[in-house]
Amino acid sequence: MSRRALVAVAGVLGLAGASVAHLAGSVTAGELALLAAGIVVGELLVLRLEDGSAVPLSFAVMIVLAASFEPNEYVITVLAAELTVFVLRTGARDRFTAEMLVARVAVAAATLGAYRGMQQLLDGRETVAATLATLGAVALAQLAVDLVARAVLRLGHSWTPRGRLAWLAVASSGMLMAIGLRGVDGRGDVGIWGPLLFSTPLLAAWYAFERLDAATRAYRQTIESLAMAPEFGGLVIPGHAQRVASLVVRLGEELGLPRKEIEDLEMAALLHHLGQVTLDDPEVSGRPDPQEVAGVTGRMLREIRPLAAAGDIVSGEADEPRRRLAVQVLRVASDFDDLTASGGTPWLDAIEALRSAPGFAYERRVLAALERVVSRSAGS
Amino acid sequence: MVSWVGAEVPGFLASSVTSAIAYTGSYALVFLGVSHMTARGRFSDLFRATAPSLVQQVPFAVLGFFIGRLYLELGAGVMLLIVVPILIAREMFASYLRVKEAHDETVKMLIQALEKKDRYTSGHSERVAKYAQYIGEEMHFGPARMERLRFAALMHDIGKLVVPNHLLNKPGKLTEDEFRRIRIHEQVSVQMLSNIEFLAPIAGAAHSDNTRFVPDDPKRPIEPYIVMIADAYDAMTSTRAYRKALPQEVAFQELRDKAGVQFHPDCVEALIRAIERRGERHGAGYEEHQEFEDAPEAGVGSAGLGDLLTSEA
Repeated sequence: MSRRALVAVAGVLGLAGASVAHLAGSVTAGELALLAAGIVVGELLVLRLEDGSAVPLSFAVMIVLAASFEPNEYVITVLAAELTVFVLRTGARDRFTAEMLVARVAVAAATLGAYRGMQQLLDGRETVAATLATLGAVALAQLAVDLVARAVLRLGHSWTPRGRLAWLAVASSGMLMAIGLRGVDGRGDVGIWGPLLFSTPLLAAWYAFERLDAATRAYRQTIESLAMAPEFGGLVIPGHAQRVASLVVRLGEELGLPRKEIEDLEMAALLHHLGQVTLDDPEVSGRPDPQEVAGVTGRMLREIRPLAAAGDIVSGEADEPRRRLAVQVLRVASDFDDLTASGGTPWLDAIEALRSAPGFAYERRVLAALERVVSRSAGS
Repeated sequence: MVSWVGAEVPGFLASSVTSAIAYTGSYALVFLGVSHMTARGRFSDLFRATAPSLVQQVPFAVLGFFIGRLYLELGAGVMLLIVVPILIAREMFASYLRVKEAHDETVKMLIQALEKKDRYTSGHSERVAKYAQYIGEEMHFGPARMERLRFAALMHDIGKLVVPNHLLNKPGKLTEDEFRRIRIHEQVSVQMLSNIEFLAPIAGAAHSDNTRFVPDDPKRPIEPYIVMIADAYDAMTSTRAYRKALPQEVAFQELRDKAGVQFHPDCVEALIRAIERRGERHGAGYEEHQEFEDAPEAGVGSAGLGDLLTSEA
């Protein structure tokens, strides 16, 4: 079943369960049915981040449940909902893995523990400030445990720029939804309508995250696809652009370059041979001079605002020291790939060849980083 | 202060929904009335264009009433909790628009730069995208579908990047072997478009095997047909290495003659309707580039259609 269909089914089942419970006279059971559906929906609708990981909206529903229900009700509802998601989504494209289930259970336990702990600490005081402090502490506990669980279970790190905003949106919405359901000292509570209505800004944020993710992927795939043109034309060895791109990212990280510079460097690596397709054919005028290819490609990219920085890196025209380093990184990575992939030179010999290039052509710092990066991936 | 527990909440909800609808309704009347008087568009068009966003206002208006109650009961501190996700949604949407703009600019400029490879077809992809959009508009495509159609049209010839320059610019007829080498560009185009997730379903638009009209095949997306007709129309109305541009009337006639055989008839009529309504003129005498005086007159008729579609040999 598609994600959209699952969301619809979860919503309908939640409403049906709530209606049955209501008719049978149990308001609590009805609310729990709706919130369980909320967790399932919250696992299907996630805020996608740069690195492919995601922050689920279900964390907001956990805050609501912890703040308004008894611990046993909380445990049963959360576990039932998360297990349902696990069973439904194990085979699907967006897999909900066993590791993710473990991470969610840890976050759920932290949510309940933090809420109960704060209640004891504040001696059950019911003021607006005390409630906000309690719910804020719960959200922080969720974040801390989630980060640790992701690190331990290798689920990708969510502490990216987008990840911080995602967490903030989920946390603040969860707090507001909880206040809507339970109120503060008998004031402000609107029952189950609270979480339903106050989730709308979070759903708007989810929509914006989805659009951004789709647009980012489309842009990236377009660049990657264009990057393959010189390969299809038989002008470079297959996979060259992709390999160099992944190598420059690792080198950039190793050398401590800023994130934006690494992104530009990656674009530069993907497209650094593209201009070659506009030059005269090798079969007519011989193999083109690498300097000429870099010049043509660089000029072409510099005309395009979003790729202007990548154009500077490709053409090798750089004034700032940081940009000069990026230029070096691209040259080293590209020449290393030429030696190892098409020349078949073993990587240690290739680094040695670059080191002994005439006239100190390559910066030592970059070569040292290359040796560390390549030996690490050769070892693993 | 009133307690909201129990039966009072549905009552408050009902009154908020009623008020929200009344608010949105009166806003819509004033907005549409003023726009109609100032913009002088048809009222039904205006209504169709704004109705979705007006409907979206209703839930937010209801939310507004509940936030108001919350403010009265719990004070301003709680308001921060609702402002934060709204600001984040706004920020993410702004980022989305920035990425979309960058994508747009990148594709447009790169195609422009790469088209210089073939001096006869500069500006071709953008014109094909324009004609494809004309057809999409006539067929009432939604924004997402239109976007996909536009990118597919812009990139339909992307595989030409792998064809050697001297073949692309060869005046006159190609040999069988040269023709075969040029045909590879279609497969490469399809492969390159298939790698882009949102274009993959209509990647066939770049291959002539998928764009020849097959009646009664509802499973086929219509976009490849649209791109093919836009491509053919631009090919006929601009000068190529192998022949001069045809007059617009001849191009229209050619499209109509082959409608139902080679071209999707609805798309043909949509394109002609859209161009005639705009009063645009293309083809011989109206070309953007007049400098290709040396092109032969040969190839009149369908032989030169769709740029390299069929062998003249």
